[in-house]
Amino acid sequence: MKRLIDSEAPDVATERAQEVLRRVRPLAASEARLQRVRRALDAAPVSGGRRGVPRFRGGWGARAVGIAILAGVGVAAAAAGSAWWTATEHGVDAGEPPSERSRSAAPRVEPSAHDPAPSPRLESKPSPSDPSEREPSWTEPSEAQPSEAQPSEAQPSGDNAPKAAPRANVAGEAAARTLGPATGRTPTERGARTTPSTPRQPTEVELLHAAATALRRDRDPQRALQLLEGVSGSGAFEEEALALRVEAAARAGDPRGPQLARTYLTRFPAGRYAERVRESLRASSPP
Amino acid sequence: MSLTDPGSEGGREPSPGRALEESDPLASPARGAPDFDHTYSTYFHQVCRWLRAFGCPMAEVDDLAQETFLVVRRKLDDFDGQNLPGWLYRIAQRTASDHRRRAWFRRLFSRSSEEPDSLSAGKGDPLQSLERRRAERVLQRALERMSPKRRAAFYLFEVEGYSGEEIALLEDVPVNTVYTRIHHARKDFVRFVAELTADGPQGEAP
Repeated sequence: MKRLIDSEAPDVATERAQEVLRRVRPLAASEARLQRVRRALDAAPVSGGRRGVPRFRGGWGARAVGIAILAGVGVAAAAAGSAWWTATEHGVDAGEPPSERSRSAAPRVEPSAHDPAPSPRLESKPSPSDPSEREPSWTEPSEAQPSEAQPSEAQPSGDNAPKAAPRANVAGEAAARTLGPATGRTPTERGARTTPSTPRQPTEVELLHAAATALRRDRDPQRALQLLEGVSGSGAFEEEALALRVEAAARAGDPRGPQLARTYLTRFPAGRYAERVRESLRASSPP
Repeated sequence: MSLTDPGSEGGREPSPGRALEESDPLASPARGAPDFDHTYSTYFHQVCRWLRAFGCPMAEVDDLAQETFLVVRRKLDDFDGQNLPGWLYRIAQRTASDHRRRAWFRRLFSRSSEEPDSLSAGKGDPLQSLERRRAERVLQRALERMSPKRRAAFYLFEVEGYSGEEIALLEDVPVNTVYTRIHHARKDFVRFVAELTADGPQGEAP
């Protein structure tokens, strides 16, 4: 095969290409270049890689230690991130005192390990470390059976049904007001993060949970009564709410206590908390 | 004439004069692990030409040759002794490839698109020097537009005067494959030169 410059050009384009190739010279051998590069090579470390880049000389032991350190740092970072995420999800700040923590966690539906007071529906065992909480509360349901409340929901009284909806809104705001200053957070804060324009009202379960916590752990029956105002009198948690209200009124010395107890016994004569309500009614009536 | 120094006479020699000779390092591959000093002194200029064939700018040939021989010095003990030129050729190829990858990054921070070697002063007649620089620039741009395999085969055959057999030995491919690459590279080259030297603001007379 002949070279292009030795071939006959069939056209002008090939002639131009040949002209370019004729003017270009091959790379000349340069002794100066050879010596220059040789000096640079001699100056470079024998086992070194690229110039100026230090080469790692450690053995496998050092590499294993490095990998272990990196893995440890990764695990620690993951644990810290997980703890932060959990705290953020439950609305608990690490800097808050324990009481504040439990109060801020109160309106959440999820049962918390720090919260010995159970929700009427979401039961959990009281903490054995606290003697006062070890004693079973009479308003605690023995087992969560949401279907038991359905019959009472199906036959609401005529005056309770229309009042329920507006009362829930008022009490929801009251709950937000009540819980807000204590923790710096509101029950609607988590919802406000995603939809800041429409703050979420606490659900009935959250209100019941918060009321139970306020009543039994914080010893604050007034706040419990205030929170219970938001629970519908004809909803799925009517029985629990009424029982909690009776207990709260009894502890607060509210004169409405006996009336509430009688209402409970009228509507739930064989209810789960009937015996306790009767005891409360007997205790409040004069001997 | 030895293939280790084909350009020392300053001009291009046709292939028959540089064909496989007994003293030619490309024709008689070393057996066993060779000495680094001998390898360096024998193949340094070859490596520089290969680096040019891989598209490296003239101004960076020294650095890349040094990088290539750093690798050679580190790995010479592991060489199987089969085809020393081919082994060196592949090391130079990878070095040039790495350099191109880094050059892409360097160009992000560089304003100048002009290669420094194109600005070097030539010897002799200024007009001839200017024409040669223009021709080198056209050649460089045409080579940049070729595929790496065609570019290497074309440059080594047409500019450096290697034979097809020598290129086949370096590339470790059949000779006919080399000729096929050269054939297609020629067509590309003619077309690219026609485009680059066309009249207009982008074109340059050779």
